[in-house]
Amino acid sequence: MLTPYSRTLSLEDAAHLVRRTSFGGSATKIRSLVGKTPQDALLQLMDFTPSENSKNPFDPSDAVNKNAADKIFQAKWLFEMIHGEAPMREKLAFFLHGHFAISTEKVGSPEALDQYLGVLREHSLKPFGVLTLEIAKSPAMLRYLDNDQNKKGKPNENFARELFELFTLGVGNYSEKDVQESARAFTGWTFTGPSKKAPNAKLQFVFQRKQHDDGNKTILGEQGNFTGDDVVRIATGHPETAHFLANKLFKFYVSSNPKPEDVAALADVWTRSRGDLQQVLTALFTSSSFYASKNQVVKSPLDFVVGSIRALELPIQGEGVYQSLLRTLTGLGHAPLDPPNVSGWEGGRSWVSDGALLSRIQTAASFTLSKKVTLNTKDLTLALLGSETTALNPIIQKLTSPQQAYLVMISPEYGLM
Amino acid sequence: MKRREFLKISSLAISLTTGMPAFLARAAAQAQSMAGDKILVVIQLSGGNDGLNTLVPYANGAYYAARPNIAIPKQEVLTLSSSLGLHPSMKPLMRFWDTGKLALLESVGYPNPNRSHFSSMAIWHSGDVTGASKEGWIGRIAETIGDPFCATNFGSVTPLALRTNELILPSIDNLDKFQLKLPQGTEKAFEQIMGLPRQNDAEFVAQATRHMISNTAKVQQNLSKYKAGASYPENNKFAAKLKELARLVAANTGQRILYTDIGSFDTHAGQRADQDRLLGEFSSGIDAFMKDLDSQGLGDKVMVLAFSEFGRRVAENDSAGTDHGQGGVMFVLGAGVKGGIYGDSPDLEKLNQGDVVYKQDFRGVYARVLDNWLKIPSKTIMGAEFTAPAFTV
Amino acid sequence: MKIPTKNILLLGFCLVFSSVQARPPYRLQAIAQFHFEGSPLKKSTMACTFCHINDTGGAPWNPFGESIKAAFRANPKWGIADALQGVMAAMKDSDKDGYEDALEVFAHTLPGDAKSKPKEDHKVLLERFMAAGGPDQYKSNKAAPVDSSDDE
Repeated sequence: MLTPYSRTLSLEDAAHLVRRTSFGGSATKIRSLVGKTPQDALLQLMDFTPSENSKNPFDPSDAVNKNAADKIFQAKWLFEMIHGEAPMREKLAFFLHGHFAISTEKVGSPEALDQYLGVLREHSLKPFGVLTLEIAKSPAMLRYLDNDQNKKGKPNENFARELFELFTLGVGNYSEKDVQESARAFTGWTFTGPSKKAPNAKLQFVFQRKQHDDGNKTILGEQGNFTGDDVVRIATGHPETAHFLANKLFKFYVSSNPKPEDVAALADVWTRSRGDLQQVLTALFTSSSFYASKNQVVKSPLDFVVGSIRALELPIQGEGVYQSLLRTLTGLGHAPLDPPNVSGWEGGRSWVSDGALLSRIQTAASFTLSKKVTLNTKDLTLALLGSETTALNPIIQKLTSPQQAYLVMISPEYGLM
Repeated sequence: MKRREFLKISSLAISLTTGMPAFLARAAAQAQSMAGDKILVVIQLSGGNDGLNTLVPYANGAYYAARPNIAIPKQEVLTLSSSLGLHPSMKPLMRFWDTGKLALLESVGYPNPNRSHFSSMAIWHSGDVTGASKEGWIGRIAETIGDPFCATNFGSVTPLALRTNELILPSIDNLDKFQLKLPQGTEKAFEQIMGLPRQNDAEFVAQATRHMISNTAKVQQNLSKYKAGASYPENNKFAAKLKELARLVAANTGQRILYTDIGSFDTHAGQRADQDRLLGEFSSGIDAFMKDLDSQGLGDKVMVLAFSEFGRRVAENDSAGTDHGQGGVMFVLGAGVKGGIYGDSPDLEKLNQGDVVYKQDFRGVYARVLDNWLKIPSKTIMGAEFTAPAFTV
Repeated sequence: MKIPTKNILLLGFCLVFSSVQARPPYRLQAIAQFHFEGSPLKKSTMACTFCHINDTGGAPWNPFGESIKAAFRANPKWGIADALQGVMAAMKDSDKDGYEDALEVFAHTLPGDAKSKPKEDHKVLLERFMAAGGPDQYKSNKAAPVDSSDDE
């Protein structure tokens, strides 16, 4: 059992919660959470009901070609992270996107991307088995890992393998035989959608019974005439999955070096709730381990870009600005929907390199020096560094507000969160 | 080899994906790259350069018949032989021809030509004519010799040629960007911030920041030694890129292969305007680049190889342009080159779906450059033996 | 672990996008030279049907596209900027809807589609057009964007 954090939130606690789980926020936003219990504060952030920001100007259906559609779709999501009403939902969706990675390059359809992102948003607080099945059946994932080409007699193992290796059990917890048998269980899965004959057909999963291999299979020690649904159920319900996901959540949200007993405790919550993500995340985000982990995560490029904009409340407008932010993120290797490979982003210290540090410094300059940053030193360090009284405050306080913001953003402290 | 293991080979390899300048600092750190000091500059003519208007068959009536509007008139051609001549915009390259340093390879391509830019480019980059491989030939060189800094792309995105499944070689688009310029009035505060005591990850990031600052300082120190030894043409982006490549070569950063591109040669309409201009930029850029290197005493270290993903249709279309074709012309120029025209001119009476039929496999050209110039066994890189005429010394 | 191929593959048997697209450099030049505002990524800024029949570009062309092609043929050394300028200066009505091409460009209707034409009275529109600089407002600045080789 993870030890719950028993105090009401201090200013630093509130800043930590907002920075770590919700792409950061303004000093005002942080102050509004002070004095609340960890549960109440979390409930406020974990409200995933708001619809997407109605002012989102990006419409992939107005794209002139595929390339443009991809760029507009990425900008659309970035806008939602920056201006949306539910930043925790977007950050969680991004975590899950890194977990169930796909890329625009192979999935050439805005509609498929939209459905995929919709699943990540809508099912991110549901049981993990439900989420995984929905993702497995999304045309984007079917296409990305070739599960739409999986036919009786000619099974394609790509999806089955990644389901075990990357999505559920982790390396070493399954055999090649499990992969082969599971690939057979997934035969017959594919999707339909618009075609020349039916341009308005819905893009959706279909099960082609004739292509399905309905023979007996042995998967992870269980025997039966399994379908793809069964494989997802068996894999997501496996004890190794609880541990694999608990560890991954800890690394992403809490610390690059999680304590084994903390991971075991979270895996325990996972097992007892049957992978209910709402219960698991609530236990994690209200635990004393979470609140004891301030500044123990290396800040990702996306957190750097989105978090800085939100903390400084920068007026980011116009498509040109978004495309430029996306170019920055692409250069830093962290553009949404463009992961380096099927295993998503490695994270942690892999974000730190000469080129990346220089690029961050140049981004910091473009965000602050010529901008109307007017925050006082306390608000600035609270929103950016999570405290009103950091070691930086006395050093920078005599400088102009934009210079203060710039120096905070290029400090080693800001490389963490 | 897994990417992670590969990275361990070089202590300088902190990140290969973010265009880091550590390879530039290597020279200052006196870390030697692998044996050999010959450099290959690969230039990609993106979009499909029209070979027939580049190496013009000016004595062939079929050429003029197929191109009533856009053929290069005989009297404008820079004569190389009794039947062939260069496009007039390529005059700056004639000095290489005259001194036997320019080789032109006719009808270069590969079996079952693909007319999609993307697919054909991928084939040229990987050397896999099925288009299935995602491993670039230069990326494979880096893996084979175990040096992730042996090649650099000059541009914003690393092309497939410089990637493998395990690594992405660096891309840079601006050498001057590699420096930390603090705004006035913040220097002292920054120094104080860097001097604060730290632990764990915070100390790790601080260390990395200090490293970056010292690396970039070394980079700039190296680069500042360069003084252009030739004047580069103005308003020519390609020439500006070559000037940056010359800085890299002069800074002795230990790279064997430098890659860049010029384009777009996708001349579906108004071909003369675009191709005439681009071939001019290409030629004057290379002329200045080689002059510059000569003046630095580096001219005999550098060979230039230029290719395009395909040639274009023999007959012009009704927009005074040409559509995607098959076989094309390759250039090899500079040190180590035995000048001349290699291969037969295309037979314009015997076309394949309106296109020049390929006769020379491009992989043979790579192979010869690998074996004879870079001294890297081509069979290891290309996966098989390929041949080409002896255009190298 | 198999790394997925990076090919741009179309989804299954879906018609997502045709592989044929308007040649980006030509469209970009037209957007700039005709002073169309908005992101070049968007169809609504300038659709491919400005010059082509299909909204995915490629052959065939509409009458305005044919006029541009004819300008190329008549002047083999013209680039796209010259061709656009020349067609504007010719003050031809390619789609024969009663409005010259340059007037339609000015009014942001489709010069190659007779069903799309300005609502404004021809005379009034012509006066506004001439007051704004006439065909000269579409003269090329010769800065054609050509470095887009990464587009299909």
